[in-house]
Amino acid sequence: MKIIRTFSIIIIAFFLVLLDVSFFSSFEILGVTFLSALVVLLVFSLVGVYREFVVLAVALVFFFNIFSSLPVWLILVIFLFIPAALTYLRTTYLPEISLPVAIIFLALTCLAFELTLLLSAQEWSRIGLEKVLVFTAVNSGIGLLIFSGVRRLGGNRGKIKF
Amino acid sequence: MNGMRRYFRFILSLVLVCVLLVLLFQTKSTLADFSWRAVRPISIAMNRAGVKVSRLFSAFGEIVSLREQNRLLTEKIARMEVDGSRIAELEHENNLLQKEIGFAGENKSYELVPAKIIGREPTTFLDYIIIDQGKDMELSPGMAVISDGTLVGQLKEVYENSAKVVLITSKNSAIQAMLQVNRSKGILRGGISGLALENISQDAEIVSGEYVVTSGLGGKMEQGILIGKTGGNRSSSSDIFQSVSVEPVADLSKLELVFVARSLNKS
Repeated sequence: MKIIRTFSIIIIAFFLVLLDVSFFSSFEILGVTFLSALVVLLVFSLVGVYREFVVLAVALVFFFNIFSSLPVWLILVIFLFIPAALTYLRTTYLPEISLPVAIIFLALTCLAFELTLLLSAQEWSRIGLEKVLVFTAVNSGIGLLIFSGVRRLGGNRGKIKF
Repeated sequence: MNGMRRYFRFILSLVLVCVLLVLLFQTKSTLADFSWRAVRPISIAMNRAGVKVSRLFSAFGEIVSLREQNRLLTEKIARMEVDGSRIAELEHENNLLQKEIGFAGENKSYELVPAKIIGREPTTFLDYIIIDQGKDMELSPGMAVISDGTLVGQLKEVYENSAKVVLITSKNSAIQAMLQVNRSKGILRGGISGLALENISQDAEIVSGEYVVTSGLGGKMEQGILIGKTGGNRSSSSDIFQSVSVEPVADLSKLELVFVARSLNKS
């Protein structure tokens, strides 16, 4: 059962990366692209499936290394270390999932993700910072919608608390 | 006993991760080429769908300006048809003159290889696309990539059946270019602030709206491929060189099919 679950996560990771490099990268929302792989990874963390979160993160690192031009070390940082570090901080200091916690977690992770990319690309300018903020708003907004949908589907088990 | 087992499992996981990382480093280009080949039909279809969605949303936003744009474009086409016939006359005259003074006729030194876009860089700040042609079509790094007659990028890495193209808007792009009218040469660089033609000498007179074309310096790219038009001057009189912003002619966000200018000289 565990092996089937792990294999399913790897397949999901593959299709998420394929979606990002083929579909979502073809159009922009307010000048930035939507990264489904990152958002789904963060939703896994919010829902509390930590083992699947780690498997998904490692699989995303593997597949992004193949399909993206980013260096391996950078992919490791943005798809594994940053989400894992912020997940750890969230579970330590804000263990109870609520709507504000979800918003803060999504926004901070997306912000850290995009800021890391901005620094590595050395595009430090007003326009670069604007893109970081827009990316954070778009991706964390969509992430929140997905998370809300997942929690609603989960029934009483996963009611969002204020 | 449990502690030993856990320690052993941790060491084993660490070793496996290190081996995986080394493998990733060593085999990235082979894996990338194989993977792009495997997903080509799906990624082409998804890319097309994404471009269609993008066009649909942008159409809603542009409805107000479309009529005025249509009117201006109709006038421009009429003017260009007149220019086109004048250019044909000048070409004919040029050929006759070259023959008169014993010049060999200028043969085209490249051919266009069509290529579909099968993927794009998904993250911001990097502008790369992946095309479905590679070494099997005798492509090599540095070749120009064209769409609708204008330069959109340059081959950066070429695999067996696919290639990575760095777009002209990328920070990593640097193309030898020149102003078409006064022939002043410079380097066209991309970035998040937009395209800029840099390293132009201070005594060059830059006019807004002048065409920018490739200069052919460096040998890899043909001369005269249209890139865009000049915008505002970005430099001050105290700078050693001038720098001018360039508006690309091609819409790089809606590319589906591109052409690689493959040199006909086998040397």
